[in-house]
Amino acid sequence: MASHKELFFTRFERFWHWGQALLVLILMFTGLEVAQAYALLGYADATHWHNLCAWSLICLWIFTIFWHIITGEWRQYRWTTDKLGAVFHYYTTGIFSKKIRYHPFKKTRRFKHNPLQRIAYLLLSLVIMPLIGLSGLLYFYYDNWEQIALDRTLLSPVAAVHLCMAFALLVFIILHIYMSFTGTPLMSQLQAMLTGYVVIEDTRTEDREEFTFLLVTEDRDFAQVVLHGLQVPPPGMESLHMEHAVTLKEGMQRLEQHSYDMVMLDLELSDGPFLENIARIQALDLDTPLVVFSGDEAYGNMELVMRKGVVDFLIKQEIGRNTLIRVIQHALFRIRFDRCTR
Amino acid sequence: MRRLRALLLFVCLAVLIAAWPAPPASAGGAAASPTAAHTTTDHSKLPALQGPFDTGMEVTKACLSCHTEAGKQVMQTTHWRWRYSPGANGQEEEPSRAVLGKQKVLNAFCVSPITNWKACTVCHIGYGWKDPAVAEVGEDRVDCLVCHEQTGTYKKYSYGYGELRAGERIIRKPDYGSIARSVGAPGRRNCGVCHFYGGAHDGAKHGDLDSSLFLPDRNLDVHMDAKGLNFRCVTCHDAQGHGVSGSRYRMKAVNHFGINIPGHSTETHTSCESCHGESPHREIAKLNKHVQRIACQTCHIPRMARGGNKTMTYWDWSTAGRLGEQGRPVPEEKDKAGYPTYVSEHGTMRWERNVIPEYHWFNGVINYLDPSKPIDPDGVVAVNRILGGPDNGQSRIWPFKVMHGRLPYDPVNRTMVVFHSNPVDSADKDAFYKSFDWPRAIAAGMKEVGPFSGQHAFVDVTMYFPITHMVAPKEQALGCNDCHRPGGRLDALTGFYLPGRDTFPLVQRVGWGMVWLALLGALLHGLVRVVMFWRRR
Repeated sequence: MASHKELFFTRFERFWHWGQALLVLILMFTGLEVAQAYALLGYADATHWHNLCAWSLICLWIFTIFWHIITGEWRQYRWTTDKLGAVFHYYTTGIFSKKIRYHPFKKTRRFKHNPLQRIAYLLLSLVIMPLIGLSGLLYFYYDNWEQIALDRTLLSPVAAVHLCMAFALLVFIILHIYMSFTGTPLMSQLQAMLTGYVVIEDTRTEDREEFTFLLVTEDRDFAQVVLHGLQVPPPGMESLHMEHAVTLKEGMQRLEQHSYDMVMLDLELSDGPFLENIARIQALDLDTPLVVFSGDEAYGNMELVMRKGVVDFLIKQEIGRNTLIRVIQHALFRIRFDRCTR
Repeated sequence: MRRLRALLLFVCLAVLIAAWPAPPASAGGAAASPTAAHTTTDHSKLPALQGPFDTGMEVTKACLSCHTEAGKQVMQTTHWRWRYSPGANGQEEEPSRAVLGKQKVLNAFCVSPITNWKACTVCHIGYGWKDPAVAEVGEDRVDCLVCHEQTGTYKKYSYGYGELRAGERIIRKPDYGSIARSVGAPGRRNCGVCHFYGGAHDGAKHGDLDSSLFLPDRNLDVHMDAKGLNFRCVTCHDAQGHGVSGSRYRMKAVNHFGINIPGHSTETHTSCESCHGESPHREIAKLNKHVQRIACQTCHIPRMARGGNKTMTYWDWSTAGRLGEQGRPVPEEKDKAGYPTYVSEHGTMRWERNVIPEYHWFNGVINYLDPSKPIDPDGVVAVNRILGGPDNGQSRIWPFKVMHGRLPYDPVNRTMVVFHSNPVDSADKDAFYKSFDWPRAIAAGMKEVGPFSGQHAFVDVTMYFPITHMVAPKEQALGCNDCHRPGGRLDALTGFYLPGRDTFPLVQRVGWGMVWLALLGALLHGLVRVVMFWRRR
C-alpha cells in the first residue's frame, strides 16, 4: 500500500513532549518518595530534584503556552465529541476484531488527535496540570503564606490535592504509554513522536470503508441532486456520508472541527466573491481535495479557478450520478498523487 | 632554545611559589579570644585585697569598699534569692508562675532545698544561709569569690561558707588573700562549679551542662571551644548590675529582635538570634524559613551529654532506704562507667550519654507544679509543664531533656511532699539519710510547707529541661532526613502536617488502586490484542 510521510510534530513539539516526559518522570519518582512509596534518595535529595524539575517544567510550560498561542496549535485540544463513539468503539472492540479494522479517525496535520486524545489532553492541561502546579507552588511557598493571608494549617489539604493529582497523572502516564503502542505498526506512534513524521497510508478507495464529504451550497435543489445522486455509495465505498452546509461560514466552522475526505464548494454563495471563498477555505491549509461547482455564468472563470488549485470544476447542469462518481474517484486519486510527489 | 625556555619557565614558577605569601594562621589556634577581659584594674595590686582575711565576709567587705553597689545588686538577683517573681517585670500571668525559684519549685532530683539548707547552700552565692525564710543577712554575706576568683582552688562548704566550720568554729580556711587578689570576670569554671553539678552529680541535671564544658573542644561546643572561640558562659549570659540574663524562668522560645547591636534593643545575648540573626543560613534559603518553626537548638544540638559524661535520666526515690546487716546502707551499685545506679540514701538511678533529646512545641512558658495543689496519683505528675503548640505562631519546636522518676507524695492530701534528707548534725534523726524513715523525713520537710497526713506513697514524675548548650559544629547539625521521614526525630509531634513524615492513607489507597487498575487494564487489553493478532495469522 502506498504511503507518504508528513511532519506532524515540529522540533519544538518533540522537545516539549520529551522534555516534559523526562521532567514529569523525575518529578513522579521523587514525589512518590516524599509520599513514602519507597525510601531510596532520602527526603533532602528527593525534594531538591523535585524542586529543580518543577521549576524547569514551569519554564517549559511558559514557552509551550506561548508557542501554542502564537501558532494557533491550541486548537488541536478543543473539545469535541465528533466520532468519539466510533473511536471508543474501535478501542473497545474494533481493535480486537478478526478482520483488520481501520482507525475511524483519519488524522491529518490539522487534526492530529482523535477525540479521545483531545479529551484526555484537555483534561490533562486544564485540570491535572494546573491543579498539581498550583498546589505545588503553594507547597513550595509555604513559608510565605502569611504574606497572602493563608492559614498555615491548610498545608495538609494542599499536600493532599498535590498527591491526588500526582496519582491522576500517574494513571494518565500509564494509559498514555500503553496507548502509544496501539498504532499500526506497533511502534508507529513512538516513531512519530521521535522523528516528528507520521506515515500516512494513501488508502485506495477500495481499502476504505467510510467517507465523509462536505457540500457547501445555498442551492437546495442542487444539493438534492448531489445527495440523491450519491445516496448509494460509489462502487468500492462501503458508506459515504454527505454533510450539507448552507453558508460558507457554516462550512468553515465544520471544517475547523472535523476532518472530511472531500469538500464540494458552490461558487455562487452570498458570503462573498467566489475567488475569496476559495481562498478562505484554502487558508485553512487543509489536506482535503476541493471540488467547485458553478452555474453556466461562471464558466468563463474556469481557468482562473483551476489555477487556484482546486481539483475539479463542474457545471451544475451537467451533474448526474456518473459524473459525480467520476469526479470523486478522480479527486481522491489526484490528492493521493499529490501527496506521493510532495 | 626550547630547553632554555622551559628552564626559564621552571625558574619563574619556583620563584613565584617561594614568594607566595603563606596562608594566615588558622583562626582557631592563634586568634586571641574575643572574650578576653580587657580590664583596667590589676586586683592583685589593690591595697584593700592584701589581707589577711579570716573569713569570706572579710573579703566581701574589702570588695564592697570599691564596688559600692555590688552587694545590693547581688541581693536582688535570683542567684541570691532563689526566688523569682515575674511580677516584677509586669509579667504576672498565672498564679503558678507568681513566685518561682529554688525555694518554691520542686525538681525531680533532690526535690527541694527546703529543710536541706546545709547541703544545698554549698551552691548559694552567700555565706551562712541557714534558713532563708527567717534569715536577715547583710551585704557582707554575699560571696564574691565563687563567681570571680580565678585560682580554681576556692570551694564552698555547708551553709555556703568558704571555710569549713563546726558551728561557729572555723576548722579550715582557704588562702583568702591570694584567692581574693585573683578576681576577674567570671569564667566557665566559676559558673560550672555549681551549674555543671546540679542534681548533686556532674552532669546529672541538665543534659547539656557538665564538667566537660570546662575545657570543651569544637565538637562539643563550637562557641566554648577552648582552642577556638573560647566563650565564657557570660559571653552570652551577659549581666547588667550582677543580674545575669537567660533564666529558664523567663525564656524566649522565639526571638524576633534579631542581632543585638548596641542601641538595638535592651535584649541580651542569651538567644542564638541575638548574634546570628533570623536568617543565619547562607547556602540554603529553606533553612532560614525553618527558623520560624524550629529552634536553632533543635538541629544544632543533635545529641546532649556529648562530652563523655553521662546525664541522669531516671531517679526512683521509692527504692531508697534498702538496708543491709545492722541496718546499714547496702553498698553502692555502679554502672560500667562508674555512675551510681543504686544508693541506699537515694534509690535507683539511670545514666545516659549521647542522648537524643525529645522534641516539643515550646512558647517559652514553663509551668511549675504548685506543691500545694492536688495531683493525680494515677498518672504521671509533671513537675514542670512546657507550653506551646503548632498553631499559635508563638512556638517553635525545641529539644528537651526529659527526666523521669518517682517521688514521694501524700496519698491522703494528694499533694507532692518535700522531705528532710540531709542531716544537720549527727543527732538529726529526722533526716532521711540518717534514719531512712520516710514518714519522719517527710514530716520534717512538710513542717515548713503545708499539711502532711503521715502517709506516703510514690508517684511517677517527669521534668523537662530545654536544651541549649553543647552546640555542635554545623557539619554535625541535623539534616532534612532526620525529621522528614516516618520514624524520624519528630515522629511523636502531632497536630501538624510534616512533609515526608505524614501522608494521606485514603488518597494513597485510592490512588494506588487506580494505578493498579490502569496497569491491569492496559495489560489485559494488550493481552487480548496479542491473542487476536495470533488468531488472525
